[in-house]
Amino acid sequence: MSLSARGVALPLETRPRAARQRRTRNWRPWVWVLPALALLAVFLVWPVVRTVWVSFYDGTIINPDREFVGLDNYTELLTADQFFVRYNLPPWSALFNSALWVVLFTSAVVGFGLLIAVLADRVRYERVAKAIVFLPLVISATAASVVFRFLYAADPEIGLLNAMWTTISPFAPVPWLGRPELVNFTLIGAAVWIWTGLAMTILSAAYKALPQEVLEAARVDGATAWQTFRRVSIPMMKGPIIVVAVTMIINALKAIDLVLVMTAGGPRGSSRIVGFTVFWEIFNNNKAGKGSAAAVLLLVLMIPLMWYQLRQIRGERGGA
Amino acid sequence: MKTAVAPPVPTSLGERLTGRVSKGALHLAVVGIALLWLVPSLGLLVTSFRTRAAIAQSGWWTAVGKGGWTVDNYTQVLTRGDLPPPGFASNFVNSLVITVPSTILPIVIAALAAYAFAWMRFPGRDWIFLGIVALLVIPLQVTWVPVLQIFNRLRLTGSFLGLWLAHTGYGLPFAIFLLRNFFVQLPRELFESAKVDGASDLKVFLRIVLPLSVPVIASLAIFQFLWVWNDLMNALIYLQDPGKAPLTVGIRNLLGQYGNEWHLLASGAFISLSIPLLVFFSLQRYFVRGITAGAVKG
Amino acid sequence: MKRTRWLALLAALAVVAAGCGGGEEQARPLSIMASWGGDEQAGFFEVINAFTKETGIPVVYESERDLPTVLPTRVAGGNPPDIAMVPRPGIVGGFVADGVLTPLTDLVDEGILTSNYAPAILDLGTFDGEIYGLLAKANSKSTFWYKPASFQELGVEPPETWDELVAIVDDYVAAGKTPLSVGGLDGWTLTDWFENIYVRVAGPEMYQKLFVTHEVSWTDPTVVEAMELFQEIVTPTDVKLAGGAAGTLSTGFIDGFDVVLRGEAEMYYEGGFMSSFAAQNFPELVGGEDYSFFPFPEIKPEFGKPVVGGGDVAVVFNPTDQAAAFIEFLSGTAANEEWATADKGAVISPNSAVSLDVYADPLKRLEAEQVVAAEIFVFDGSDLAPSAVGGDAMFTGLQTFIESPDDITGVLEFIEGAAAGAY
Repeated sequence: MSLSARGVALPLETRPRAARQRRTRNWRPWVWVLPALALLAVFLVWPVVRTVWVSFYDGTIINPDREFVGLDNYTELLTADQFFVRYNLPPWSALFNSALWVVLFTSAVVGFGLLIAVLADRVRYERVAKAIVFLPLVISATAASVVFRFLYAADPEIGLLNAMWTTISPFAPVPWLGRPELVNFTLIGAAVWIWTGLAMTILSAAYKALPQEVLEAARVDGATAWQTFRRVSIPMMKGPIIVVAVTMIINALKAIDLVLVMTAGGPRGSSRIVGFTVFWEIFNNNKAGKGSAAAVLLLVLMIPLMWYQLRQIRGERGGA
Repeated sequence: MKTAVAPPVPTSLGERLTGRVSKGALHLAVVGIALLWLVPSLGLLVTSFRTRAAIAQSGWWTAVGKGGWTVDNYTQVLTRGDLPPPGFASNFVNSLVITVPSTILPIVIAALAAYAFAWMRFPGRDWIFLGIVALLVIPLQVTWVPVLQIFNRLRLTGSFLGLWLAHTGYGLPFAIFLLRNFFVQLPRELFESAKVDGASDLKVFLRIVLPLSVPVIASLAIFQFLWVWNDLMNALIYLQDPGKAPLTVGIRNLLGQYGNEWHLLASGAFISLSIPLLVFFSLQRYFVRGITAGAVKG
Repeated sequence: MKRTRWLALLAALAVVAAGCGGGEEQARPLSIMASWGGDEQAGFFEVINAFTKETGIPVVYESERDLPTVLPTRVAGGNPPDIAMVPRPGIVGGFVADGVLTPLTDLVDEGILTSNYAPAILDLGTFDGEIYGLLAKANSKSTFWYKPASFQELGVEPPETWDELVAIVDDYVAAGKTPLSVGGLDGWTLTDWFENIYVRVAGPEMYQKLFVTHEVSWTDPTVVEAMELFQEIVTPTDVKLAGGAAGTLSTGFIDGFDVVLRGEAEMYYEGGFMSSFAAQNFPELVGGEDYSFFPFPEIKPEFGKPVVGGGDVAVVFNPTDQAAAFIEFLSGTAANEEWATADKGAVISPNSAVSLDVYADPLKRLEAEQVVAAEIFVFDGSDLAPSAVGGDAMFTGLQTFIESPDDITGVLEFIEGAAAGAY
């Protein structure tokens, strides 16, 4: 999204000298991207190729190509109780849970991040407030598990939430991590606590970079603060907001640390998400093929996001 | 189009909000959110000063009355008890050795690539970029075995260089994604005027794009530093040598088989997070308002 | 100018680091990987130090708490450790099938192994007729924890039979107390319950057939019988279990024991290793007096009281001379006594040549006695079965059972479904 509010974009193509220069220099861009492409190829692309290949076999991590099974891994995944439809319960399946994560987690993180970025900007203790929200990101995953143990524990002697709950209400302590209906929301809450700091940091940087002249112009034109925010600021921050949203969606799909440490997919598989399935199948169930198939499915789930990004690119180029 | 010189009237959104909503409500909101975020961390902090028995028997919020306070947890982490070398200091240095290059390298490489994706033209440019976006979703576990096989052949296993390259590779998709989408937003006129003056791409990149991107690069630096500093699994898989173990591994090795040494995890967490927090604070000064204001004048 | 200096510095760092990467040409140390950290590591180091002192071979020990993840990755990647201590024999079977292990009898004299360990113990590491793994340390999972003072108050003695145990549970309920605490969040506590019941109902051979070979299906009448006994003792869950079903499923195995020690419940079933947690978390209580265990009671007299146990199995990936020396050392009395008497992280040794007097802690001695004297010793079933069953379906199935104890058939069919595809 270019700041087209400011002047006319001059396509380079209409300037002959520049065009001539460009043609003779066509190898230059490759120099710029080559180191990145080389590293990506080794560390990510090649493993992806291998993963796709392994997904058509039934093997272990040590012997991945033990037996060719074609699409069996995929069909097994997509029809399995715990991936698609949960045994004996409403559909607390991995796909469903991931969808829940994508929607709730992303909107909460972006929402809170934006809120804090904008509000804290105006108070004197801005740095402290932002540091507090950022702190969870700095705490490693292992330590975060300790944090949540003391928050969510079913025993009100140990868990803060239940201690508060039993003090306020006459009801029994709530097993936040023990009930399938609750556990996903509990986990998402924990994840929001951790990741909002990232959204806040990026959106704060973007917010502070908004050109004051434009906002001033809007104010001079009689817009209220809310209107300015909705009609001018947010569209101008659309780029960073999208970046944050996409990053969070991807996190929701693939980040398994929290689920692994806090519930190991339980109770009874109701908190599994797709990324978790990849890890669980390969390392716990020793089925490298099935885990790889789940990883490939993750890639497939990326297609809508990639399509969206493509649309954005087209928009930037003006329909190139 | 000339911008009028604005009188010093408060124009930011935050100030507007203040106008509409009382300042009190603003503070209430900010403090409220900060408190909400603070409580779990506070729990961890208090836990780090409690004895093991105290932690098992009562909640941390009751600690004020009950006693069971100690600094032993911190001493134990710092001296690592009777465990053999390497000691804490060694782990700490290893963490630095691993993290600093793993932060600088991906940013440099990604910035160069992102600039090309944003402002240069070459065949397949947008499709390659989309491919990089797709790579964001790859769970790292599936890369371990193939990369380890390559490392073994190149004798990079157990070397810091191998780990730097791995972290760089893993960090590139997000870095390129973030930077490219930021670069693309910069006004065309900047490039126009520079090119007219005969500047090369490199000059434009260094003199114009980078200075404007300071807040984004600072953000990126914080995240990449954080991510590598807190990384456990990649160090375990690629480094293998206990002598080169970073802080995360060192702290984890204090845990017994059942991992219930909450007291050590809590104190370890705070010792460990001191550095990334330092980085966060020192890079805060780059989040300064108005870096782009005035950059494009007439 | 400044940039060039930076680049030079980076390049220098890179060269130095790369140089540090490869040089292991001198006296090649023995690499051992295990999942022990903290106190356990300290204990094991006494063994390692004794080994190095005796043989002069240096040892590099890698502590990997994520061993089930890291070890297969390293093996697949091409540079496994020389020796690994694997916490689940099921994994060992997988490695044998992948062809990456060396039989121990290729490295040490078979006589050394057979004279130091009971056949039941050696069988645990035997696959396809060859001994691939040696049980390095053992623990009993047939220990039922109780509080002697509480029993005295109730006027009962530790039970010898299942019916006596059920009667005690009912007595507690009548007295207005919560008889049992179960750490159901960690699914394996439930599988341990089931395994102890099943081996006493159907015997060790059926046990092996259920878990190792799957010749016995999960819907077999013996399994149903065991589940019905399990049902008998835990239902109604809101009365007999601390926290009811929901609380049980959110409580981990350590917290579950804490509940008993804090006085909110009376008895807790899990392995002998629970005593160390009690000592850490409740140092004011005295082991053996304030809390103790009785052996899991017998159900059918012909099977008596088998021990369901666990431990770490030592396997060899790289058959070097140093590895052979270590295995020989490990199976000797000296190593085991060193380990059993370590200041921190003392273990119970399955080595039958070790005298019981070396155990200073009375609870540990009780447990060691149980292990070494067991007529029947079976390994933890969920560790014997393939991970898809023992690490996954069993957990989920039994947790569902706690929530809906009436649906035994549904649970067993679910586990059977997973098992059918796993063997």
